[in-house]
Amino acid sequence: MEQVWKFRRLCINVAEEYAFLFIPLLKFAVAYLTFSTINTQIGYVTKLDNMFILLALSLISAVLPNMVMIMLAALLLIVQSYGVHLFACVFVVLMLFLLYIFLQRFSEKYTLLLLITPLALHFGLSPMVAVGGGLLLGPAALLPICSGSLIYAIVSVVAQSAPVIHGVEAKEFTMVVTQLLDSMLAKTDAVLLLIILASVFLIVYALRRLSVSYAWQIALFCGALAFVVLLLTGGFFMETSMTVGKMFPGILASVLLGEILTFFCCGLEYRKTQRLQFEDDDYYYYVKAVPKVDGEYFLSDEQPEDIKEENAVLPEKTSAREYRRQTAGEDVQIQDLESKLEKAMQQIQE
Amino acid sequence: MNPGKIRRMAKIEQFASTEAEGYLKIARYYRSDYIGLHLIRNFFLVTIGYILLIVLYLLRNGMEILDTIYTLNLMGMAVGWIGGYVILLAIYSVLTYTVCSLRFSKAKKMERYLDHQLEKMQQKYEPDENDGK
Repeated sequence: MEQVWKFRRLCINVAEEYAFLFIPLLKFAVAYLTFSTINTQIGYVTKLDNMFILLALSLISAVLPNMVMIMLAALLLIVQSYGVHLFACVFVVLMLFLLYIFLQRFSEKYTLLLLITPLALHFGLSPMVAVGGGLLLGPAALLPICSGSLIYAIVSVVAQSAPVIHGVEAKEFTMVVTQLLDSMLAKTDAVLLLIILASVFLIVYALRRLSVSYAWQIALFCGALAFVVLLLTGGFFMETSMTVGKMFPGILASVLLGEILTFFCCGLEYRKTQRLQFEDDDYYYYVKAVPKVDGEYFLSDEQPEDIKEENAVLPEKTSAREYRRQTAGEDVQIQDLESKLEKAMQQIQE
Repeated sequence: MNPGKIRRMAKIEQFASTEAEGYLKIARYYRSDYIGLHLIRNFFLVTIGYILLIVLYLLRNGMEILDTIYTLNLMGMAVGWIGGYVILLAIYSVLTYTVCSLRFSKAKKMERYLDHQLEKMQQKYEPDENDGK
């Protein structure tokens, strides 16, 4: 088992050391996939369906901030929609603008999810976004995930309507707009998927934050189960083409991703949990200490025991507590926790 | 050169330029100014968004509306649209106020933390500098 933890530490060290290389490579991959998917889905402007243009745009996106990648993807989508029809382009611009006004402007973080979510939906791997986001990110990620689902719906609507509206004269714009809006409103799949993704994300996030053993694993499997249950329930009440069979590879992939994330990001050894009880003049403390696999207190041979006073172990610093007191602006003298505990221990022994 | 001081300064600068960057800009405002600015921005954005929604509705249902315009309760429709606008504006104003308040309080916490780190560094290394002189 120690070999496994050493391998984990090695992977983390390599990732940290070469992060300057891995992050741009990942951004390049996401950008290239996004641009080529847009060209594949719509692709009426054939001049843009050029490997060199895609590589150049992906390279620019890899080295510049994330917002540049998002703006380039939006621009590509708008230009490709213009190739379908002028009013398809107007529709896309309006939809993106409405999305920003009513949803996305409240979230400034995790903007890359605006591109990763539609990609995952396109490849049938949507559960990975909800489960991975719930395990790693905070509630602020919910808005980009929802926005990403709607962006995917907008792109699918334009792609599906393109054969009908391409070549229609500009004066027949009402027919084009009607076709696009009707397709958008009829997209029950998109609505169901949005509800499911949001629910699974919140379930995984809430369970991951519980102070129980194996919280991440519980969150991961409950999230996958919730996805299946919500999909079945939603399919019962709404007309949808999504089935558990079609989504099964995505659900399996999300469980695999969750296990990988749990292994690398949640390095806790729950079998060696210590439970502590002690008191000072002000409070009685019930503390649960779970050792990290690469922490100082990770002991490979000892079994967890209920607290005996002589086995009480304290952290050396109370930096988090000290910081909270100081940033609250209180002028509080911080008392030495160790000296107070020693006093309490002496009293118990007496 | 004091390596410990340099290390601490580097950490503070890294924090200020990565995690706290956006929040430090927010912390420069007064609370009422920051929230007021975003509420005004919210007003304009929601108004534009609502107009766009009405435009889309009219584009979709324009022909039916024109066909039945003489029998339509235009006053009722207008009241409904205005009522919908007011409700939407109220909801988004409350959302904007809540989000901006949370962001502002977090920004102030970041600023206090940064100031605290700078004070600690000053207290720790200033005596050494005075001895050197």
